[in-house]
Formats: sequence, structure tokens, C-alpha cells
Amino acid sequence: MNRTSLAASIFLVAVFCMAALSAQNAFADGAVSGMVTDSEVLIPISGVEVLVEGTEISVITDDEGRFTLPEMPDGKYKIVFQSSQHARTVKEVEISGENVELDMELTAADGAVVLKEVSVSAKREVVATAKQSLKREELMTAPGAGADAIRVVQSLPGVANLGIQSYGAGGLVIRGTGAEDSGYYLDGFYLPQLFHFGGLQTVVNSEWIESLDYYAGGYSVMYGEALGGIVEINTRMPEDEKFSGVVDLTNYSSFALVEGPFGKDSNWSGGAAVRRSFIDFVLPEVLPEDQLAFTVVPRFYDYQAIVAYKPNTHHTFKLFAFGSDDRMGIVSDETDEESPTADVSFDMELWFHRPILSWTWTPNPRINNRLGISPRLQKLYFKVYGDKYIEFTIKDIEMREDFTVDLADWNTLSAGIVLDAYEFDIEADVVQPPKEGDPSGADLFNDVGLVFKESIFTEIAIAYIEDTFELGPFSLTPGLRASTAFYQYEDGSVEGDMSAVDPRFFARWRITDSATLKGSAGIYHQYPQGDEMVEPFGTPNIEPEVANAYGGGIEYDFGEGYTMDAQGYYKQLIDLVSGTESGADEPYDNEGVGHVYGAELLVRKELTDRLYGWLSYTYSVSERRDRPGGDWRYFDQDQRHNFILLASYRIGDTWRVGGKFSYGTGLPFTEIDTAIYNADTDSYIPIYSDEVNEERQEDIHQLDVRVDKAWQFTDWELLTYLDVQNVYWQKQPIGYMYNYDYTEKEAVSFPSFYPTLGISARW
Amino acid sequence: MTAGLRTGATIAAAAIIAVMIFSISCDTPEFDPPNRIKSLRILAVKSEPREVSPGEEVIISGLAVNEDGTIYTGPIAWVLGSTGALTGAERSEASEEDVEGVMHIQMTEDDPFVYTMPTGGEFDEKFEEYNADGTVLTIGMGIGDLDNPIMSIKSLMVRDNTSFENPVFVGLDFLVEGRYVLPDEDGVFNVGNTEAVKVTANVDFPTGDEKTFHWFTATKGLKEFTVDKAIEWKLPKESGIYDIYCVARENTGTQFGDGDYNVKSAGVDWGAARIRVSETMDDVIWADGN
Repeated sequence: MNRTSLAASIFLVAVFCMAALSAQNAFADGAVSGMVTDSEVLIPISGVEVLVEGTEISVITDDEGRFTLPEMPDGKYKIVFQSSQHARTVKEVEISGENVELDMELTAADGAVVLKEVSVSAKREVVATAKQSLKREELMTAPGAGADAIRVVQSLPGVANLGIQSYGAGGLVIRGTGAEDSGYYLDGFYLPQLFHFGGLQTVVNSEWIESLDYYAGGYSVMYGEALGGIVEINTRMPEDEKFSGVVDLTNYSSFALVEGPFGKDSNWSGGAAVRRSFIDFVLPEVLPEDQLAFTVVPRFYDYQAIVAYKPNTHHTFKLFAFGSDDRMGIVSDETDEESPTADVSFDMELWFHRPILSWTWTPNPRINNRLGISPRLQKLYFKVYGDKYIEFTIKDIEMREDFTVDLADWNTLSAGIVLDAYEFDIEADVVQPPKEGDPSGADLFNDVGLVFKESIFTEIAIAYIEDTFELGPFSLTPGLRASTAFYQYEDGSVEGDMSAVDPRFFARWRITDSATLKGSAGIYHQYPQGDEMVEPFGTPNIEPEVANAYGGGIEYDFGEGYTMDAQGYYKQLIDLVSGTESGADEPYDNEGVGHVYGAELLVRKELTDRLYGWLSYTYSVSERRDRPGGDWRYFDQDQRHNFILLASYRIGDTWRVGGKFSYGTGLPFTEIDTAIYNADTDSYIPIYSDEVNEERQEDIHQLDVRVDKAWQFTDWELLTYLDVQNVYWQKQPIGYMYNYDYTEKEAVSFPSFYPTLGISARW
Repeated sequence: MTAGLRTGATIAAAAIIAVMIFSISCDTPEFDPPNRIKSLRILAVKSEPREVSPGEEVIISGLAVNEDGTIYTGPIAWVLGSTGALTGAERSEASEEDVEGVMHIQMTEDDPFVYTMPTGGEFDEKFEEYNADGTVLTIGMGIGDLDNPIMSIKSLMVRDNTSFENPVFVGLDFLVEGRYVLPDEDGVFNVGNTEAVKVTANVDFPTGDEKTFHWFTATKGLKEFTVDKAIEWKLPKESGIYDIYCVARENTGTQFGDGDYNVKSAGVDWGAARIRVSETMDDVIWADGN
């Protein structure tokens, strides 16, 4: 793609906006009818009484929030909307021989207990209708998640249970693909980093999350560039009625959050939050002196700031700026004389900043248009042993336009465009990073580092369109996503382009009121990782990886909040980026292939009065073949069985207790056959078995429990919780440690439980 | 939605970090330190000279020990080849075809691997295209069971202008209770019933200053992970004869003409000594004569 085509893409965005305007006019006519939605979350409200003042005319909105008043003589009328949860609202309309379309947004009633839902939707296969929502109370109180909404996703089907190793995964291992193969988004934009330090805590404070969508696979054409799953966080609007805040303290971090309107009856509102870990304060006080020299101590910050302007019910402008800063280093800078190396120094920093400016326009409940733009600045710096280092700097600006319109009661069209200009700078003196499936890894002590500095500029344009047809019991959704990318090195020595076209199709068949069959088929491309394209680490002209995915299943509603979702899937992986034979000119090519298949079951009790929970079982087989004609091997994080049972029960008005038991098959590893002594360095070089990933670590299982207690006061509340992971101290396998010549090995495991004690004041 | 060119390395780095955290936090297994001899093993490989030019003769030798700490004197299989000289990863992937080159079976100490480096086209044919700035060959050493040999490798720098030399091991000095001792007529240092001795390596380094000293015994009591030229050795309580070895290395790397690589072809020499622990100090031969 060149700059001319970029300009053309921008033009298309404008066309979309104009199309939205036209669609608004098309729906301007209608009877004295309309739809009632919640002004904050824009979801339809059922059960609202709609009456005509001074008459006995009264109707109730249906499940879709719709109402229709009987015909009335010409004149002016006051239409009243009222419900127990929303402020009574009166709207005057004039009827003059024509029907009137009246859509209303209601605000929450003063003093009403409004549950701001945060939802995790296991929206597999079909985006629009396979949604399963977890209420905010579930997300914030799920045992084993430490009040971290994204950690709750780890308990859903399709996500591998890595035990303690999940803290280093850097993301979620979904349906047999690596954490880097899944997409993580916030308000539609790429989330540069999901967790602090690869897994400690989500970088976005859960307090800002309005909904959290999790797609294990078979996801809509709205999303792409990921072979695995998708996690999208949608942030909420700041409080616009009154000033409020949260002060939260746990045993490893603390945050403060404030929000509120910018003045009385203002259309402006905003808020901010900042969080900091304080492990670096505590550890030096509690660790013995002799351990300090080798102790790396992490500390992290994250922040979020939001400003919203809502001039009327149809327009919302929002700026959500967020960032994260992780640092780690040696507590003591004294070099230990007993160290095998002369320098044990270690330094790491990882930070990003990303503001997102968005405009959401909903002229009526049938149209939704969102335009957003977001720059990003991100850096990773990692230095070890004095001189080995790698540094990434990413500068990026992205714009996206998403448009959805209900063309008819049975037809919903969605389309969008994404434009992304991206600079990736890398500077390194480090050995080649190992690829998935390469057991040998890098030897920072002995291997010769690659010294280089390079920049890649990339421009990406993406367009998608998707149309859902509701035909009786059938729902059919064809979609198409097309993307193209142009890239070049800073010095112009390398340039090229890539493109991908991803057709996808989703179908649902509502067999009975309780049972729905569903299926999907689609192609999913994923562009190479930045470092895979930079010489000498990578190969400049490698192609995107591809997944051809098929899935099907059944959903069943047992009633009273009990539901079941069973699925099977097959995913063929082709053109995988793979290490070439030793001595080849280029380190990577696209000769790798793979396949993943499995089944997932989710039986759930949704939160009703007191109880919620679910049983999740995942069966998965994920295999790879790195070279043509080579042997098949298991994926590094292939997990055959993954079972999770989670339940939480509220006792009285202020107590809640919960537990989660998880069991997962041990992860594969490759045995070391022998080792060769390197007489130059006085070290041993392990020789791995040809049977890659044929051995398994010990199975993973643990029990987590959680207790919550709340105190209600006049103007504020105090919440406390104790969330203890691994209460019976089951050792969590991390891997194996070998003696100096690899003739002896012992499993390394994390021996202790992980308690989180939290106290939170809210007003 | 687009991730652009996502940074999988970000995730990889996070994983490395997490592993480091957990490695530190976890209970790590207690293995014997590398300086304790428990099995048949190779302690050092040396080429003399350290760097060689085409047409020059090179003598290749090795230091290996038995599981009881005595010197291994059995047969040794030697290979001099061209492949896998630069990185550990490449070495681990070397196939049998790759390591064809020159072989030698050493049956006794008097039959070392002596080889005259070929010149011109013969070198190219035998190994690889010769680079006058530096061509790195690999020495392979194997001992023990032929089906499952104990193996070692070492780099050998071949170039026109050689500059680095091996260290020269002069000997080991033993300090008992603050006084030097001398060996007896069998070359054994009597240390009596003292609890510990201080052993110092006397080594000359003609070139380079990246010096390390690795110590080995079959007993417990050596300070772990030290690379110092002097070491304290806590002695066994049982009377007997014990061996100690010190391998001295000089690790200055070799810069190629184009500056791309910094090859560590270490200079090596070693020293060995025997001590006798006895119930009294009577047999100790003090260097100061008293």
C-alpha cells in the first residue's frame, strides 16, 4: 500500500460517515413508537412504562426496549417514561397526521441501585448473539482472580491453564496458539501490553471496564491479525451525576480513582486513576541481607485519565488516555564475588502511553457510529550481564471507523475501516531469540550476540463488512475483512507489501426456545511479529501466517439462570513463521504448519440472587510441523485437559464466599539426551532429544478461595476481600532445573500460595 | 482491528523476566557444584600453540579425570573439523557429516594429537575456505564408552597473524596454617591433619588479561563458583591421598577483520597436585625449613 491508497482509505472513512447520515434520514419516519435505552450503556430497557399524560393510554416496552402507542388525534401530548430503575422522563410530541418515531434514553434514578454491568462475553462463532455476560459483581469477586477482570477470562473455556507459568505468558494462550497470537484491544485499539510483568496484574484498572469481550475463536471480521483469540476491553463513561472515588489497597499494590462531572448540569465529566505496586518497598525490608544481592524487584505504575463530553443523547466524545510503566532491577548493585559471572547486573523497563480519542454517534437506536484515533508510544528495554541488551521503540498512530446499522428488523450491517502508520525501531546486542518449539533457547553467557540497529516503517489499511440476516429461526452472517500493509526499512534497503483477504461465515439455528445450534468457518491472517522481519533477527519478506478455522456447537438454556455451551473446533495453521535449517541465508521462512482441534464445554449458573459459578472443560490438541517432511510435535503450551469449577455465594447482605478448583494437564517439554563440554567457556551445551515436546511436566491443580465482606455507611462503603490462590500449597511446576552437566534434573516448582488481601473504600 | 507488527518479543521478554523472578523465588534444587568430580569427565582441552597459521604444527591435548578424581589415562578420540565453531546453537545441531575433518585416536599420554595445518587449497578442501583474518575450527574430544562418549569441544583459531598465546602453568603452592609446604620425593604435598589449606595457582599469562581459574577435586570442601587464582580447600578428615586440579584460562576474544565476531578461543593450561592428609603434622615439609 502506498500513500495514495492511504488517502483513498481516508476518503472511504468519510463515505462511511455520509452513509450513516443517510441511514439516519431513512429511519426518520414511523408510527408513535420507538425504543427506550439506557443513556449510559445504550442498551435497550424492557419493562419501562410508557404512558400518555392525561389519558389512560399506557404500554410497557418489550424485551428489545420497543413500544408502540395506539393512534391518537392530532395535537400535542406529553409522553411519560417511567421505571423503578430510571428517572421519570417526560417528552412532548406533536402529532399532525403522521406517525412519530420517538426513541428515548433514560438516566438512572437517584438513589437507585444501578448495577453497571461489566460483561465477559464468550462470543465464539457469532459475535452478536452468542454473548454470555458476567456481571460486574462476578468479575470483581471471582475467586482466584484477585479482583482483576481479565484474570477471570483465564477461567473460561479455550484458555490454557498454565498454573504459575501464566504469570510469564504475557497474555492468554487461547485454543492452542501462543499468547502473542491473540489480539488484546481497548476501545478498539491495540492494547500494547496486557499484564504487568507478563502476568502480575492487568495494566488497565478493572474499575474502568464496562464490558470485556472474549472470543476463543471464530470471531467477527471486526477483528483480525490474530490466529488465536481476541480479548477486547471496552471502557465505561465517567460518573456524570456526582463526584465519587475509590481508594484501594492490597498487599502488593494500591490505587486511587476519582471521577465526576465538571460542574453542575455539565455535559463534561472526567476521572483519573493511578496505581503503583510497592513490592520494591517491602522486599528489602523482609528479605535477609544475603539474598538481596540476587533479588530482582519489580515495580509498576499504571494510570488512566478520561474526559467525556456528551452534548446530547446522540453524541459522545471521549478521551481515554492510559499507560503503564514496569521497571525491574537488582536490589543491591553489589557484584557477588561468588557469582559464576563477573557481572550479575540486570535491568529492564517496559512502558507505553496511549491516548484514545473517540466520537460515538447514535442518531437513533438503530445506528451506531464510532470514529477513533489513537497514537501510541511504547518502549521495551532489557539489559543483562552488563552488555547484552535489546531495545524496542514503537511509534504508532491508528485511526478506526466502525459503523453499524439495522437496515431492517431482520438485517444488521456492520462495516469499518482501520488505518495504521507504524514505526518499529530495534537496537540490540543479544542472541537470536528462540522460536516456539525450539527447546535449546539462547545462552546469553556463551553465544555470540547479534549487534544491529534498524527501523521499519509500516502502513496498514483494513476494511471489513459484515451483514447479519435474521430469517426466522436462522441467523446468517457473512463477512469479509481485507487488509494490506506496506513496509520499508529506514534506509530503504528493504521494502515490500503484504495483503490478506479473510472471508468468514457464521450461522445460528434456534431449534427451540432453549436450544440453538451454531457454526462458523473462516480465514484468519496474522502479520509477522516486528522482530521476525528485522535482519539479522528475522527475514524481511516473510508472509502472514494463516488459520483456516471451523467450529460448531450448541447452546442450551435450562432456565433459572442455568445455561450450557458446548463446542467443537478445528483450526488448520499454514504459512507459520519457522526457523530455517542451520546455515541458511535467512533465519525464518513460512514453511511451518500446524493444526489445533478440541472441544469446550461451559455449564454456567448466572448470577441471580446469591449464587453464580460455572464448570468449564476444555479438550485441546495442538501440533506443529516446523519443516516440510519433518516430524510433528506438540505445541509448547499444548494442554490436553483443562477443568475448572468455580462458584461464589453471597451470605446475607455483606458477605460473599467463593472457591475455584482448577486442573490442567502438564505442559510439554523436550528431554535433554546429553551435553557437550565447552572447553573454551567451562560450560556444558545441552543436546536436546529429537522428539521435541514429547515429555510432560506434572499436572497442574490448585484450589483458590475468596471471602468478601462489605460495610455500608451513609455516604460510602468499605469493601475487603481475601483471595488466596493455591490454598493447599500444591507445588506448581515451572520447569526443570539441571545440574552443571545436565546429568541430573529436578522439577522446579513454586511452593507457596499466593494471597491477595484487599481493602477498598468507595464513595 | 490491527496490532500492526506486534512485538512478540515483548511477550518473550516478559516471560524471561517472570522466569527470573520465579527462579529466584523458588526453592532451587541442591546439586553438587561443578568443581566436585563425581564421574568421568573432561576438565580442559588445549591446543599448543593457542592460535596457528597454515603450515604450522599444533599439538592438541586434554585433561580428563576418573570418578575418583585421579587422572584419566585411557584412550581419547580426537576430531578437528570446521563446523559449529561460532555458536552453541550451531554446535548442538552439528551432524556427523558436518564434523568430518581430521581424526586421531590417542591410546597413551605419549601419543598426543599432533597435526600440521594444511595450506592453500588443501586447507579449503579439508575444512572450509580459508580466511586469513581468522578461520575458526573446532576440536572435538571424546572419552569413555564409544556408544555414549563423554565429549568436549574447543575452538581453534587459524590465521596468518597469530597474536594470542596460552597461559603457562608454573605450579601450585600450598599454604598450611600460614606457611608454605613443599612436596615430598613422590611429588605429594603432605598437609598433615590441618583442616584447610590455601592453594594458589602460579601461572604466567604472556598475552591477554581475561584470566579465570577453575578448581576441581573429588572431595567436598572447595569454595563453589570461584574463578580466583587462590582457593581455600577444606580437607577431608579421613587420611589419604587427594588430587586437585586447576585450569587456567585466558579469555580475550578474537576480533575478525570485519569486526563482526568476537570469538572466544580461550588460552588454556592446567596444573595438578596431590596432597596427603594424615593424622599428624609430622610429615609436613615446610618451605621455611622449620
